[in-house]
Amino acid sequence: MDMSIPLAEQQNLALLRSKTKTVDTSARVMKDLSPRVIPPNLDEMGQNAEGNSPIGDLDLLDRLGLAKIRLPAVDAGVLTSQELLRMVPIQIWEGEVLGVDQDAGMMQVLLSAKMGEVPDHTAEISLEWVVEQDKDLVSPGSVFYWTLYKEIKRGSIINSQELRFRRLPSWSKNQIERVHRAAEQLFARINKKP
Amino acid sequence: MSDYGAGPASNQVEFTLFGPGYGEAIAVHLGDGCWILVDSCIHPNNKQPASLHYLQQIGVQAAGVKIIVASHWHDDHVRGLSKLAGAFPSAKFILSGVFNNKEALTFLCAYGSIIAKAQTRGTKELFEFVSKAGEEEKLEFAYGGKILFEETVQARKMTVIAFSPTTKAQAKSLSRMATFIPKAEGLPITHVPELEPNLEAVVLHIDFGDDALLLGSDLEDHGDLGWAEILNDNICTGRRKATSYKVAHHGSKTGHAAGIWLTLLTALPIASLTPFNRGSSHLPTDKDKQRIKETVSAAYLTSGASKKPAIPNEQLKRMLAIGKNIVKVNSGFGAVRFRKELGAPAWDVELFGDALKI
Repeated sequence: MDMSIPLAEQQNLALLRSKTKTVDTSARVMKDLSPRVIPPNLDEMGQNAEGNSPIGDLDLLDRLGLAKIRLPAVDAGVLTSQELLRMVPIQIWEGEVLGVDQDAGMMQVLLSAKMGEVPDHTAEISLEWVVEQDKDLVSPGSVFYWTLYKEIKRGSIINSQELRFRRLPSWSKNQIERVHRAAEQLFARINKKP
Repeated sequence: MSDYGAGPASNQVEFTLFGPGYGEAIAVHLGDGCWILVDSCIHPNNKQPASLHYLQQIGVQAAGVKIIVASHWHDDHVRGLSKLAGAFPSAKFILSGVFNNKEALTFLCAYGSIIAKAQTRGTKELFEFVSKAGEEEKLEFAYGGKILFEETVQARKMTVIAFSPTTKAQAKSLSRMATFIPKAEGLPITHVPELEPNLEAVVLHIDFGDDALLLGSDLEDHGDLGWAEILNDNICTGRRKATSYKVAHHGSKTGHAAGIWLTLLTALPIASLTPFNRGSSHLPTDKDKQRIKETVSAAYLTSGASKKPAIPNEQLKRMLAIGKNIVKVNSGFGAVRFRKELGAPAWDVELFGDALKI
């Protein structure tokens, strides 16, 4: 047992790994989508102590305004930082959940590409592909990122993808008050007697 | 697609419906260069509001637009609306009466860019539209039975009247909006889900003096609300029957009521509609098309182009490993135009872009 990973996380991972599916193939390597843990030397945002992240093309992510999204995490002790440098996003879809059909185990989503001139698409995604720690976030209106990326690992090109939900900011008391004030003002302006 | 040809003559009335796979806009010419606009969508090529682009192409003066109606707040009907309002500063803005209420405005403010900047859809456009109109004191609200425009054009009295929303429908819509108004801190700021069924939409009846148009917006029929209320209202049923119908709610079954065709329209009218491709909803379905075809002389859809994904094959193959039914939201773009001289019995029909006859 790896003592650097909290017990609850390890139990979660064990459960999810038992559901591991092969979802993507390249000519040479098959890759699964099982959730992976963050290396001990990186924080939750995938950054090291200096605030740098070795994962993916961060300049590109910055330009896309996605620096704050949780980046693909990797197996502790498996990949070195140099190998991580070779993970390159091919497309990042920002998704919005339009509807959830719990009976069918599906969510209907709207997908907007963050790279290139690609039109919006809609799709249906099985809820089984949502990692356990994100399941509470799945509801109409919630936002996720579907990242397709490739990594070059020990000379092999591995195509992979990841679906992660964004933890949206929450309403504060101050914001709620501002909304009510703005509505009062708008109502007064609209109904102003000449 | 920009070759719309010449604009209508002074003695011609015209109805033009624009639509990509997700979006709807309408321009109506009442004669003598007098226009009304209903809703807004974006032209996918030039990113302009479709009706603004159209009016510019055919050389309409800004002062010619008399009223701009936002029939309801859904994203597919309001994209570009604030820009449209800016382009026609002398126009009066009309909004569903449901928003003449503090709770509805709180809903609009909550999801209309004050706080939830990244998580807004139609609410943001509508918030800007309402704020601008409110400042300029030219906002009016539409209720069932309210006359929105009345003027003599070409010696004929032209009347635009709202058939909805009714008082009961507004109350129902408000109660649903209220559930999404943030009340407690700590809850996530999400996109606002679309509220269904659509009961707050503004249905318009346009009387040309000897003929009429019925614009069904996205109104649905829901128990004794929606179309059922209109069909039980003498103010609506006593109006001139329309020879042309913009089919409600993208031709869906929920937007259908037999009484519309029996009471509000002449026998075998011509019809037009926009598609709706989003999520698991793809309207009109084949059954919807069949139902519509049985009641009209002809029906036209603004866009019937392929919904095939526009994603590189290799990426699509990978995406299909965990997703299905991946389709393009905007399946092309097109416009359907009905035009005739005042007093003429039949409409001339022209199709542009990806528009087609059903």
